[in-house]
Amino acid sequence: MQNLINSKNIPWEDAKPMWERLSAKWAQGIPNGGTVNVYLNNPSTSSIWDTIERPILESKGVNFIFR
Amino acid sequence: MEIENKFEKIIPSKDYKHRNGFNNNNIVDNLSQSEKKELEDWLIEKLLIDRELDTLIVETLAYLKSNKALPILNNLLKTSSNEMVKLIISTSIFEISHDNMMVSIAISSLKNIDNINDSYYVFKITSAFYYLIKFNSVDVNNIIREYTHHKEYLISYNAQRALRLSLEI
Repeated sequence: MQNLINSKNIPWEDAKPMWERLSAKWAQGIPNGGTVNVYLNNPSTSSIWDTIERPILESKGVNFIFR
Repeated sequence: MEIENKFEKIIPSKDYKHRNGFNNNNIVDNLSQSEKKELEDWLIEKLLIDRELDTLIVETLAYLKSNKALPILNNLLKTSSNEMVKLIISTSIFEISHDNMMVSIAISSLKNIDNINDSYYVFKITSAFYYLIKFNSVDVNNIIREYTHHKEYLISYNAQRALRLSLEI
C-alpha cells in the first residue's frame, strides 16, 4: 500500500483513512476470542491502534499481549 | 545542522511508519525558547515553500501558538478544497487565536465529510472528532454527541471516546 501511496503521491491526510480501512479489515479478520501481540511506542490519542484496531478487537473479545 | 536534524524529527516523513500515532509535543516541549522561535520560522518557511501542504506543520504551529503563522494559515484555509485539511486548519487557527469564526467552518467541514458515498467517510469522521474537541465548546461537543448512537460502530465508539478525552482538555 505504501508503494501505491508513494507512486500516486497521496498526501498523509488522504492516506491515513486508506490505512485505517486496511487496519479495520485486518482487525475484523482476527477470530473472536483470539490473542494478538501489541507493540506500542507511546502513540497519540488519535492513533490507528486506539481509534480503529483496539475497538474492533475489543468488540470481538480478543486478548492483548502488550510487548 | 544539529537543529535541522531535530526539526526533521518534529516533522518526519509523511508515511505510515513515521506518522501513524505520531505526536511531536514532547520534542517541542524540550526545545529552548530560542529553538522554538527558530522552529516557528522554519515551519512557516516550509509552509510557504513546500509544494504540498503538510498538516503536521499546521498543527505544530498551532501547538507553538504562532501568531506569526496566522495570515498564512488563513490564506491556506481559503484556498484549500480538502474538507479534512480545512477542518485541521480551522482548529489550528482557533488554537492560536480563539477565532470563533473557525467553529462554523469546522462544523461545515464535518458535515461535508459525513458523506456515505465516500468509502472512507467512517474513518474521516472518526479522525475529525479528535480535532473538533480542541474547540472545547459545548455546541461542538453536542454535535459530536449526536454521533454517539451512530449505526457505524467505529463512529459511535470514537464519538464517545473523543467526548471523554475532551473532559481532560
